[in-house]
Amino acid sequence: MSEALIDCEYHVAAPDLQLLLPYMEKSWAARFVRSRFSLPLGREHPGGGSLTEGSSLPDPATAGAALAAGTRAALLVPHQVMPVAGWTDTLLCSVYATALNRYVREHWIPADRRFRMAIAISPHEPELAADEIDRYGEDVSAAAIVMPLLATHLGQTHYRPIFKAAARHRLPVIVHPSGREGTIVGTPVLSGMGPRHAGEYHSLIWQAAVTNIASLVYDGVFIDLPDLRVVFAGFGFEWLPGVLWHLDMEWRSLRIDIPWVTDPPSVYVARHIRIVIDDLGLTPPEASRQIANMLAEGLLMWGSNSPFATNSAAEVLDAMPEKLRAKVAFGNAAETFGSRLLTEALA
Amino acid sequence: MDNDRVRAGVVDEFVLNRFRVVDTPAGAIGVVRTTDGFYAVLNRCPHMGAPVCVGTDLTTSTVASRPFEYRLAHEDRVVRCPWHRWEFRVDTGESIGNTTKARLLRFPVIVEGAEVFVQYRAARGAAARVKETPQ
Repeated sequence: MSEALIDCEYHVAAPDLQLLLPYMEKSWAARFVRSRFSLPLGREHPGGGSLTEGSSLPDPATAGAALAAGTRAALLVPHQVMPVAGWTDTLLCSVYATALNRYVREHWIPADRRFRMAIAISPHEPELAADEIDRYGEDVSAAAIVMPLLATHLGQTHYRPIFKAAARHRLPVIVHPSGREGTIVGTPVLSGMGPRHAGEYHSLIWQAAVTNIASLVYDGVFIDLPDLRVVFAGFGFEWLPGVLWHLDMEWRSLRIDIPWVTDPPSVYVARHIRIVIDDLGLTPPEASRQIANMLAEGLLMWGSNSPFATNSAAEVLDAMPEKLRAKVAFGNAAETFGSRLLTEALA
Repeated sequence: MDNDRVRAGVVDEFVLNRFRVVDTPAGAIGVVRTTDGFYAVLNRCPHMGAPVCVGTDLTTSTVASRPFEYRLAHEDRVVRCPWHRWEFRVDTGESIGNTTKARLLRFPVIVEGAEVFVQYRAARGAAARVKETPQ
C-alpha cells in the first residue's frame, strides 16, 4: 500500500475565458469581453515554470487518476489568481477571483472525492475577499484560502478582514508567489527592487516570505486571531532556521517595543505558520534533512506543484528526516487543514 | 575591616536610580538607591558579560498587552544592558518579559547611619557563580 499523501498544492486552471464568463454578472462578463481581457495562461506557473510544448493542462475528468499514488486529498490551487497582485482594477480582480472559484467548485470538485478547493481571493479589496470567504465558509469542499502577496506586509491592518474571515471559518490562508514580486509596483519588493533575470527572481523570492513571516509575528496577528494559520507555498524552506534564530534574538533585545509578543517568534511560527515544500531546488537531500531537523516538526507539508512539478513526492520525502516523513507527507496537512480535507461527505 | 563587605559610599552621594559601581573581590558591583531602598547587582550581564549597570539609569519597560497598545510597567526598576538591551528587574534579577531564564546576580546592601556597604559574599541569583579573588 502506498504511503498516505495529502497534496497541499495541486494547481488547476480554466483553459478559456468562456468558462469563467457564466460565473459573473452579465454586465461584468460584458466588460471582460469588451476590454479583451487576457486570461492569464493556465499553462504557466506564476512563480516560474510552464508546461512543456505539446502537453496539455490537467482535465478534471482525468486529473484524479493522475494524482500521486497514495493521495488521500488534494488541495486545488487556482494559480491564475496570482497575477492580480500586479493589476490595478481592484474590483475586477475580485469579480475574476469569484468566477475562478465558481469554475473550480462546479468543474473540479465533483470530479474526484479527494479534491478540495483553496478559495482564490484578491488581496486588493479585503472586504470583498472576506465576502468571498464567507460564501464558502460552510462548504466542506473548501479547505483553505489562497492569495498572492502585495507590498503591504501581512501584519498590517489592510489584511485583517481576510484574516478574520479565515479564522472565523478555520480556513488556513495559503500565500503563493505571483511572479510579479520585485518587478511591478505594489507587489513585494525584492532586494534592489528589480531582478532583471528569472534566475534572480527565483533566488530572491524567499525574501517575500521572510518579510511577511516577521510582520505576522511582530505585528501580533496571531495574538488577535489565535485560530489563524498562514501557509507559505512556493517560497522554499531552507532559509527558515537562520531567520527564526535571528527573529528570536531580536525579540530578546527589543521586546520592549512589541510587548504583545510574549513568546519567542519561533514559537508563534511553530503554532501558526506552515511551509509547503513543492520543490527541492538543488539543495542536496542530506542538507534538506539537516535543515528540516532544525525546524518544528509540524511545520513542513508536501505539495506536488502539479502540473509543474520538478520533484516527485518520493524525492521530496526522501529528503526529509525519517521521523518527519509521515508528518510532511500527511500528518501536518491533516492537522492544519482539518476535518474538511478528509471528510467523505461532500455536497 | 569586615572582609565580607565593601563600602559603596554615603547615602547622599547616591543619585536616585543611578548606579555607583564599586570594585569588590567578587567583581564590580553596581549599587543603586531607589524609592524603596538600595539594591546591588553584579555589573555583568548574564547574556554576554557586558557592564550591565553603566548603560542607563534604572528605567521603565512594557508588559504584555494587545497589539499596538503599550502598557508601561516596572517603573524605575529595570536594568537595561547597554550592549543588547536585555532587561532585568533590579530587585529580583529576573528577565523582563521572561526572554531568558538567566538572572542578574544580586547582593545585599547594608546601610549603617550614612554609610552604604555591599555584602559581596552573599550573592543571590540563578547564576550564583561568583568568581572570588583571594584576599
